[in-house]
Amino acid sequence: MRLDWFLPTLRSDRPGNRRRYPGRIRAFGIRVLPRFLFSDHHRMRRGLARRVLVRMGPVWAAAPVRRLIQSSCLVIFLYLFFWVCWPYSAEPVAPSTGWNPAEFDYERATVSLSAGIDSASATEMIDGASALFVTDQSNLQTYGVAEDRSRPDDGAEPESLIRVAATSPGRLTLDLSALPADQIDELSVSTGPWDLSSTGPDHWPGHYSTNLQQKEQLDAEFFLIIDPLVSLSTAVASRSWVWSLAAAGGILAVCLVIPRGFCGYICPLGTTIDLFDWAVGRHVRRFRVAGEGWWVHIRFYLLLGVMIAAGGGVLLSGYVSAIPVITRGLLFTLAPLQNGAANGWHQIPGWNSGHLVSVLLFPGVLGLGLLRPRFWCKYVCPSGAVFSVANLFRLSERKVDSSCIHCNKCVEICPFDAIKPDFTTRTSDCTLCQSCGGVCPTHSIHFTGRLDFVELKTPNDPPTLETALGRRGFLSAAVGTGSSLAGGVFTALAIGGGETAGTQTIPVRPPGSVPESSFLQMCIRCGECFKACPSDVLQPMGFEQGLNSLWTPEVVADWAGCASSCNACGQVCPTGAISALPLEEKRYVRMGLAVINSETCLPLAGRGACQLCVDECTAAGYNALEFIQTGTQVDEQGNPVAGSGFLAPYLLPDLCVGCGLCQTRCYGINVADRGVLKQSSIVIEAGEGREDRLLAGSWRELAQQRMAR
Amino acid sequence: MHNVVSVLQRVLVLSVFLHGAFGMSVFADDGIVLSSGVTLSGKVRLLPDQKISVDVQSGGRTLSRSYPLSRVRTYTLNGRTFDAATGKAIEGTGGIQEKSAAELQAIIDRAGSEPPEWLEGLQPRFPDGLDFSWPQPPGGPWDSSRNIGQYVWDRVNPNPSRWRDGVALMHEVMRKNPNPEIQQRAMRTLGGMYHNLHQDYARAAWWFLKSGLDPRGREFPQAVVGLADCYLQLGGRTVALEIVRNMPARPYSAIKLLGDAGETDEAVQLGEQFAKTGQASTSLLYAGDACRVAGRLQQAEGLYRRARQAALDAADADKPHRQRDRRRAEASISVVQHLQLSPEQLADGTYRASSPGYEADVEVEVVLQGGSMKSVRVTDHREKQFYSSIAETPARILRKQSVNGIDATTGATITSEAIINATAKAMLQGSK
Repeated sequence: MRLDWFLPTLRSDRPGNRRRYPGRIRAFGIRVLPRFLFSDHHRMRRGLARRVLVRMGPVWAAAPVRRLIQSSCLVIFLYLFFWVCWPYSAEPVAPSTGWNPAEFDYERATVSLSAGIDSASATEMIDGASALFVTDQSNLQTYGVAEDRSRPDDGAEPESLIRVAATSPGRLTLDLSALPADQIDELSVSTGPWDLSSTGPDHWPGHYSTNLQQKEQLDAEFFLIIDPLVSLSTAVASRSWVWSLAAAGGILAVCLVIPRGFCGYICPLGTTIDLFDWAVGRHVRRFRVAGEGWWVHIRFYLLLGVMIAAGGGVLLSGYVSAIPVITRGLLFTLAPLQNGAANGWHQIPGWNSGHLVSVLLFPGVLGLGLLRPRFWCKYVCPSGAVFSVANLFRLSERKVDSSCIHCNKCVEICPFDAIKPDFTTRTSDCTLCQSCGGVCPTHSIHFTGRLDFVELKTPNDPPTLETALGRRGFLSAAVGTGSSLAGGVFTALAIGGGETAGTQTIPVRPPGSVPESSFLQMCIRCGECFKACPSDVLQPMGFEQGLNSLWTPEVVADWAGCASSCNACGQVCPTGAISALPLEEKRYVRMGLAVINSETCLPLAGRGACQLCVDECTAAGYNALEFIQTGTQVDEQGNPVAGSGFLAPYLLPDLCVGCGLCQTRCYGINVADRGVLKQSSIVIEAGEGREDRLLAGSWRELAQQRMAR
Repeated sequence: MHNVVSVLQRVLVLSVFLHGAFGMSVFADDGIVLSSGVTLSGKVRLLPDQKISVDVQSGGRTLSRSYPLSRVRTYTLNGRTFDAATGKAIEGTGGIQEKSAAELQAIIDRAGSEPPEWLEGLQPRFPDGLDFSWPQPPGGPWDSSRNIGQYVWDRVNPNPSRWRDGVALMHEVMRKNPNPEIQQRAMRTLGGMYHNLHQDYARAAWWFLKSGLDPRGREFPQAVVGLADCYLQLGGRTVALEIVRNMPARPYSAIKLLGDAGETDEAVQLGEQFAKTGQASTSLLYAGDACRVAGRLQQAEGLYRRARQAALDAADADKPHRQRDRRRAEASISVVQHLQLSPEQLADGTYRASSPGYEADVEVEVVLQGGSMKSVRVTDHREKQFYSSIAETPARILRKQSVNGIDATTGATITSEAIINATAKAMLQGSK
């Protein structure tokens, strides 16, 4: 257990300069912790800690700190994915109920209330509020709203006219003097109970947004933004600055001192593969392949291909880079189980062929572990290849001194095949996991500065038969490079060049998505937005538009509508394909436009009364649908007959944001439940003039300009 | 006189049924009426310092409220009603002081002289192609993007968010079209809007009068009843009755006005007259309502049964409005005999029931506890225009602790009736 190995360049560790034993940390531990935990070196007896570690396995025993960091990162990753991106813990702010007006002082216009049922929560809520809105449950009127406020578009919360005069546990005095006289009269004769709320009836709900904000102490997309291939390829493909490049730069800087440390310590996919190899891989030996073969450099060719495609404006990295592979893998396998178990199995949307491919891909990546442990990480993962390339600039590395006895223990334990037959290091593969150091019986392995050349072991003894270009030599490199060049250019031409045909339906993208061509260049297909989206409004596209749109998010309004209080998709998007908008912006973003089918809409077609869509739009606060009287019968004089005809929906396009709540309702009731329609009569359509897709700027100002016209 | 529907074109009110009265029910119990019109029933005590207190029984609790007499219009003590300002007893008007014609005119003039605050600077939204010549009859096919009357009918009336726009649009019409006939029509429409949509009776009356409406003329009987209702609402029962009685051709909305004014016999008589003329189902329903409000339940049931039969026998029995009459009649029949149910006879519990409203069933939830109604709430409805009744009618039922003698909210008769009926049905479940 050598903590000082972690920053080797900061330390002068030469064979002549003997380390103190025990080290400072260990000495401190021996002083404060029970003695039996520690080994007794004089009597050659292992302490409890060591015995437990040996029990847990050779890698735990060799480098326990690495294993602890790995496990913590996996736990944090799972926490972010399954809890922070879990929208269903959000609840709208509920009013405090059950207050009874006890004493009413009419002349001073004050009323004292006694708490009914839930006085505990009530007093808690009241504590912070200086003004409250009162809803009288006996007549369902809300009091305190300033009369005749102009449109609530200014975003400011309305102030209540009802002030809190005094509070004491279970009791509350309100000052009503600012209310109009007739409202004071009404309240004075009310027998209650009253509901109290700190937000007015026009309050724009924000519970999903607040919930995510509170849970996101660490960005939900943290592991995605530190996968350097994600942001590098996105930036190249979209030819723009991608904000997560900064995080990628940060991790690459760290990896100068801990070369490829991301793969060895942080990557949750790597840790998952370790778990798979431990649970399954080591028991199944029949598929094992040699440590040598054409496959050992796949990752470089994949990286080259991906970057060439990105240069051609096509983003392929999402399909193969490490973190998107695991987020998508979990999204399509465990996330539906989580949702189904918690909310009911009817909540899980249907599957398409795209799902199937992704579901097969994840076990496929794990299954590579049957060939060799961590086969994916060692040979295939292009994100790892980025670090391998960055390793050219490493400041630290593993070195072996001349005391090496050629016992081969380091080669056996190395999880990354990073030790050559001569026991020196394959520097592009080594992750500085330090397992070899832990098993070396002669302490010959050092993690030290790159330029530290003291007393090194003789290289090429025994001979490695490797060239400077790596294990497979020039031919393999040439063939691989050639094929990835061809592959990258081909996909860039095949996908990037062809604009989607005009006849295809244009998918409705999440709120705040950048323009479609940039969107396809920036969407990494990681699946975070699906995970964070309440009730699965966003669903992954399949092969409807070919490989181009595979796994990109689409609003499926037949299934659910975009919640007015939610802005999660933009908040968790690692590349900015969906802009991270505050709710005050997001509520104005036009994703699409509702289109009413007058041939099938029940009241418009004269088939019956229906007002589902209008109710839904009004309840959501958009007010983009209102009523129009339709099918009015006229008498002989051409005068309307009262009570004839129906009220039908009438769209105010300037107010419609395309949230799809109307479509959800029409589909849910009229199509799925009652079966009176084949398709929803109101559908959200995207496309020119129906949606606002900005790379930068304010959607809210755009909406205000639109309404001003 | 029988071609009632033909007058609709001029007034463009939402519906023939939308006239009602507020606060004219007879308070057998003691209580007070505040100057804002809010009523409170309970044991009344006069206190020193010009104050008055009322003890209200509610859900097993007694709430004591006291008010300065200066804020009280009338109070009823031991069955006799007094004017709070003078302390003199008021006879025969059911607790509300009758205003003189001069007082009424003063109220109307004061309200009419100033437009409402919200109208200032309001730019009405309306289609560009609207034809401000407003031809009458409209001619051509129905086109609410051209014809102003049809636009108001299709787009303004169904959307509460456009009611203020509607008023602004009428002012726009008056600005753009100096034709005296159009000016009058716009004013009359304004009166109808203030009455039906905004329930601003003083302004409604002011515009009805300004349009030159002749209460004794044969034209625009719908508007005349509207005017009479304005007087009734403002406390001018005698004036209102005088107008309705002297109309040469009364529309059947007059039935409701007579009933609301407490002239039940006359209302039934008028209903019977109409019943011979073709619109039997509607007129009998309103006659039944008049009886029900007055507590004459046997007679009400008889009228409802005849209304139902009339709706079934009508030539246009398959038309939506006729079918609605039938459903309303059936709902009323099913509950009218149980209207006298009082909460004391019922078992505790939460009961739900529904009754047909304008578009669909209105569902009401009643909580009975300890011999009283704890809450009455509308839990599901599809009513659009008349939200006032959704809140107001349950509040009235709760205050009165009974569905008997509850009058419908002005301008929202059908919704109110549905709430009353559904509440009665729900209470019935407690008696089993």
